[in-house]
Amino acid sequence: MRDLAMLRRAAAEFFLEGFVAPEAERILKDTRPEDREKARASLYSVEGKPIRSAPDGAFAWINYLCWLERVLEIVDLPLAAIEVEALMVLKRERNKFQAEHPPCPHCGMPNEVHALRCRECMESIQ
Amino acid sequence: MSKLAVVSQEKSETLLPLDAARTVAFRTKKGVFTYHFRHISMEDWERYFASIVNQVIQTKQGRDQVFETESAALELVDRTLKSVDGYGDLSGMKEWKNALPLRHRIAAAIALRSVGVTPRKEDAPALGELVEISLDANWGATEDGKTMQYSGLIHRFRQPGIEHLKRFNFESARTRVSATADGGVTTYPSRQAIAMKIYDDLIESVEGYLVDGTALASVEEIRREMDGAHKAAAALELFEQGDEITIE
Repeated sequence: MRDLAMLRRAAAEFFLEGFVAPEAERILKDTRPEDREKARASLYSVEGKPIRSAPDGAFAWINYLCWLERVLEIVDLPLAAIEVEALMVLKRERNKFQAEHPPCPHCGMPNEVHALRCRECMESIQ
Repeated sequence: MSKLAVVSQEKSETLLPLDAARTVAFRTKKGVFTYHFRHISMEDWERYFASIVNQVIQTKQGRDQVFETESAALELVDRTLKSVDGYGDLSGMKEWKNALPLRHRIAAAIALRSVGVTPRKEDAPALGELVEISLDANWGATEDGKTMQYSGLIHRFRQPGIEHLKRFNFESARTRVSATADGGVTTYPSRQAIAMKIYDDLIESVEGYLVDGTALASVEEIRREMDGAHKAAAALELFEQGDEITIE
């Protein structure tokens, strides 16, 4: 995955998916099995468009990078230039996402920057 | 359609002769057919694994997973098949391989790569310097057409280091992405092909195999003589073995 622009787009979509996932999965759990596929498509979309627009390969690469980040917290490993560049893109996108989705001071769940109440614990966050 | 079946299986009490001629026999309602292959080299297996199509095609309507092994199977058979029995005299035919039924050629390929991990017992996992993987495989047929079945083929590996795991994960994540008007096509690499390459780095010893009537002794000999499908099956298990762990 040498296309860093595509990686950046996929990383943004990856973090957004992670953001909507807890609520989406709660709803899906209570949805009839035969309706789940349709509900999933709707829950993982923004303004009618699926969150994921980047090709699957970009997400396979991001999953690898997330694994690599965790490993690098414990051991030093030689990295290829392509891995270093990709890790920097991932970090930048995560920082950007976190700035736009600050954690709730009560439970730590990320919320929209303009949210008045936490979507998880419902406490006031303004 | 007639149903294909391996003629019959016989459990072998002997060691698996890696240099023996590879023969596959199967039966349909029309009779018994036997396929004779030349030695299947590492290059043949590399080409086989590389030809397996594992793609996700993204369109405006969604994503379609494509997993297709039949073309790779046909290519493997066409490249390595020497002769067949059961179809009458084919000597006058220039393109005799193309005349063989597709289903028969695919069945022969499935038999060639018929190797898998021996089902594990419920014993507690043993931690040691070496990791032992046991395989079961079909290999060759007797003169009366019985497919030989070998079990408990042992591969002992050094414990993979983090650099091996990184290499495996890195290579597995190296997809090829091509853009289309509607989205993109992601082509995934073959995990078997990756595992097959790492096998040579980690293998220490094997049990149950013969070459030229002698058990494989040195690591060099194992690297050189071991069948590619067996390397792939054993090394893949090395990276995927164990129960799923959930950290809460």
